[in-house]
Amino acid sequence: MIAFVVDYSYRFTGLAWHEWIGLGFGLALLVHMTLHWDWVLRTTARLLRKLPGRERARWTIDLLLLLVMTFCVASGVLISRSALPAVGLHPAAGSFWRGLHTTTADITVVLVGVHVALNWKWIVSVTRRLFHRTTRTAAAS
Amino acid sequence: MKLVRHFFAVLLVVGLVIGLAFLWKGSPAASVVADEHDRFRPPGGTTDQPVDERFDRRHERDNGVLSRFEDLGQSVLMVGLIIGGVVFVDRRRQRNRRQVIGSPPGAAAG
Repeated sequence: MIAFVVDYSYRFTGLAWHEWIGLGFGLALLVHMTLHWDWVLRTTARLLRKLPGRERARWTIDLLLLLVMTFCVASGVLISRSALPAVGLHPAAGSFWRGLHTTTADITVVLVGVHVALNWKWIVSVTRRLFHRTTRTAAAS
Repeated sequence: MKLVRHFFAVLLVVGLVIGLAFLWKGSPAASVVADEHDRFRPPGGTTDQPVDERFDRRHERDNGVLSRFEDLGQSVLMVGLIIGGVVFVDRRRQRNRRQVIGSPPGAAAG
């Protein structure tokens, strides 16, 4: 989320940083989905049976995020002006891809907020556990 | 091995979504997104300027800066408000649900 919010602030990062962070974000998205693919399959199968409304909402938000983020990263790659030309690739830009990139970025930032909010308890508990582990390790050494 | 399988499944899904974007580009619905939210337009710039020119000007001016904190601040504020709003509604909903479950039969109706 932090990476996306920074990357979304285009006027803060400038074009070059924006593109490199975006490419890293695309790779992180692939890794994240690979690691959670079991959850995707399990929850999708449970959708056919009875699933609490909250879980159903989480699944829907995640599906929308998958679609919109993929559109955003893919169109970002296609309109790259700094990162890809730096490695010798010159993708063809177009008004559709530029429009798709900015529109999906605006939608993604809202969905990311909702996604984080719906997983808030989990994020707080994992952060607490990590923080306690770090302080315990620091105290032991 | 399982992770590799999952990775290829993810690649397949992502490939399908990208294919969908190309189909969208070729359809009449492409005008729904094309260029309406152009954030590359400089302040005071007109929409009749060529898009590439507008983009290049912003590119020239902004390249490599990490100084416009007001833009970052706006994004953080917006996402913070969304998270805060959804967490508030979600907690309230869960609290109401707990109260309904914990109350005697028939109490929820009144």
